[in-house]
Amino acid sequence: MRAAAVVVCVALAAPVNAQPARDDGGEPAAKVEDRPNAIYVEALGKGGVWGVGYERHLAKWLGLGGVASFTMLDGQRMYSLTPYVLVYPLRSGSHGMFVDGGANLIRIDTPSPVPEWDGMSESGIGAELSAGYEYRGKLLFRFYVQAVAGKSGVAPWGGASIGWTL
Amino acid sequence: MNRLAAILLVCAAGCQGLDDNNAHWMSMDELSGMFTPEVGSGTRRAMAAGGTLRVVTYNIRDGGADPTEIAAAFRANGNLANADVVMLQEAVFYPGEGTTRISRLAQELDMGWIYAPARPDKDGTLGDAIISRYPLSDFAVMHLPIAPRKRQRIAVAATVSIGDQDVRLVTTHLDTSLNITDRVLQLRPAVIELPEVALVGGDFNTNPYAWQEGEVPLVPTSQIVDTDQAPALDDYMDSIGFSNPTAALGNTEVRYGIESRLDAVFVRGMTYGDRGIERDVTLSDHWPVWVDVKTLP
Repeated sequence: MRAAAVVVCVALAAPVNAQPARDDGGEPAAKVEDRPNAIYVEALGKGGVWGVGYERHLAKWLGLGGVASFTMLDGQRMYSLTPYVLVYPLRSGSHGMFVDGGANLIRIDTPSPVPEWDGMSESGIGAELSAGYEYRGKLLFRFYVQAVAGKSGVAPWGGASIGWTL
Repeated sequence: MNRLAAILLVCAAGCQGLDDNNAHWMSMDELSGMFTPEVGSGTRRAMAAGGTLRVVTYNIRDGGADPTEIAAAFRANGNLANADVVMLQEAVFYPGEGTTRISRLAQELDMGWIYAPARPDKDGTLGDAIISRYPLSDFAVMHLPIAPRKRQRIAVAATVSIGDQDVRLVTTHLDTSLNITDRVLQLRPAVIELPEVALVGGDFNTNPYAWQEGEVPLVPTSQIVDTDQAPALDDYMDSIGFSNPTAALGNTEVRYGIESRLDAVFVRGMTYGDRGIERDVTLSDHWPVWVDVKTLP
């Protein structure tokens, strides 16, 4: 949770002073077509608690990506993988509104903490739909709300990301 | 190197799980001060051999309604009116009230009792209790392993006899926001060395979520993968020979419109028959859960 708070605070602070991103030579903001790749870390979001993501833009308005995470929960091991498709309904310079949707694959292994029990494992696949704000220059910041759906129903969630475009 | 060692120590401290608290059963004379249990006798003799014992577990929430109201609800309900043993969680004692609420409830129902404090609550104590129509004996209390940033939980044990067969009764109330691994570790000391003929009932707080650092329920994760702790705890108890005849009865608690299966009665070395959840008794966020048990011939 502390890591999540750090990511959120850093991501909140940056756009306050943000100018359209400039490189060392004072050139205009990095264009998506020049920097189509992005790597980032997330707090909450698609990984549940946190995640590491990679994304590639196929066009100015369209991208493909994926977030992976591994989390220890008091001895339980949670693995998560979320491939997604991302589109931009609105975009202006470095700022945009994005929508993404994809599958959410989760596996939880519960090793037994005691000798008399075997433990257990559970896997599942669901879907997620996210919408939010993005700042994209050489740095990448995102905040979003999310709906996660699975066999047990639908739940709201959200996340924040910080990363770099390449 | 010293800095690295310090970092590792801090990390290890922050990463620790349950403190096992040297959990062990304590007899009445080992408990003192605030933790001294209160015991009282009923008026009935022991149950005859071959009899059926109706056991109820009920979390009465924050001390419960007035004991006379709880007693009236039990008498008005056809299933609860025949309760022989009632295991209660979140019982309280406040000195200003003169007597424990459990003693008043037990006397209303003509039962004997044990009330064991788990921790301070306002100017009194909060704990768990067993009340019984039939004589109780061999009382014991265990301070369960403590989870980080959580409150002390206990298990209370007593023996009731059916003819010449002893049935060891245990009630407990586990922490709320534990993951299943820590939940098993918290419960284990109270169940691992029980006699063959035993019954464990209570509020196990087997909620449907996985938890991050005991604070954040991973609600979206629970929509995709089964994180329900109730069947997992059933599976653990099955590994040491206990059945849960109340598992198929459904949810036992409702809060904020969300129902969960938090309460259970686990049975070993006995047969079981009728069972139920009394959802028309609404004095708490939990409903009374009951099962009829008989010892093997």
